[in-house]
Amino acid sequence: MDGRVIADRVTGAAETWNDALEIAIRQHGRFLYRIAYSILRNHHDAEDAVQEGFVRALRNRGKLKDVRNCRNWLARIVWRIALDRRKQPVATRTDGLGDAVEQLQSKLANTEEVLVGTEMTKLLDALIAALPEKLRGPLILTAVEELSPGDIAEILGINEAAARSRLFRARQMLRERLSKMMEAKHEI
Amino acid sequence: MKSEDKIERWIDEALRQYGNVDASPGFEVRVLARVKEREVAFRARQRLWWAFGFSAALTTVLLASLGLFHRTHLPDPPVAQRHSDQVMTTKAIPEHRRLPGAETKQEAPTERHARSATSHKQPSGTTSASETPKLDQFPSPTPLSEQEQIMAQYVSAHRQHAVMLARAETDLFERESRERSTQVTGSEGRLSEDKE
Repeated sequence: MDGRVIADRVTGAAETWNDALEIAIRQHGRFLYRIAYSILRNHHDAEDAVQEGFVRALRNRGKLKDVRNCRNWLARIVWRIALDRRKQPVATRTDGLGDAVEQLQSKLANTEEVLVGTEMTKLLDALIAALPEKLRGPLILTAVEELSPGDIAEILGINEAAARSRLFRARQMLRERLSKMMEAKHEI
Repeated sequence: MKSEDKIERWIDEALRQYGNVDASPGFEVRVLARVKEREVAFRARQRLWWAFGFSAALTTVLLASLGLFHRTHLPDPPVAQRHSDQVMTTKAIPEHRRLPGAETKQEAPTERHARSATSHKQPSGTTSASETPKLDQFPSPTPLSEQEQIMAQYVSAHRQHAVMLARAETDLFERESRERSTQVTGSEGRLSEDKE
């Protein structure tokens, strides 16, 4: 639903804004939940963040008339809430990851098994978490419902070129780190 | 090259995990209920604050207007009353300083004081200018003295005779003053001639 349509409903009578709220939650709730979960990595916290996001959106409903894309506007609110709620900074240490790679190689015989294996997911999770904040954001958002660089730029409040550049650098950094680890273990 | 492709696929797969997460059933209903609940509570709180602010403002305005009304509509105390109070306070002498014989003088009516304040000069150093009563009417209205009362009775009884007497008195006074002025100018002329 377009931001202006929601704005017209939300700023109207109580019954109308209740309807608009329900429509917005049904349309964008799960998308927003995924965004919150990608940062908080906890179901309960993600749900709370979404709830808080809708409350804030309701209180700032006066701004809705200027909003082009309601989904991205809500996503931006939830993104910020999730970042604020992440009390502890993500661990940036990757020292213990080498052992995980070794275990992977010894356990799994072919690449298909690696892809479905939880160990690889954990390893990559740790590597993504170790990325700088600026690069991690765009990378995570591409994974959530495959958002376009334009949408990512709108959510993060940056321009599209910057979003594209950060996305490319994040993938490159991830590739380099993973290949270095694999090579190091091969040499050993 | 092959390993690079492998790594790319791993990254894509790991990222896909981020998008595969889904909320538990009933998520929308839960969020909607809690958001509505919070919004209702917020509005109620807001209404309470508005009511409190409005009542506080109303009370302030009411108090201010009441004060203004009192100030403008209360009658001023009479002038005589104000002065008698002032005289009493300025002339109050401590108990230990009073002389035994001065007791009757202290209890004398304030009327005499008021009259003396207009007609006599205060002895220097005893009272300052701020202590003298400030009168709205000058001279202050006071009852007639004994002599004045006799005079008034005479005027009311023999009005024509009194008028004649008053005219004669005025003429005499004018003549005398004229003579005095001619004497003064004559002596001054003589003095100037002597100098020359």
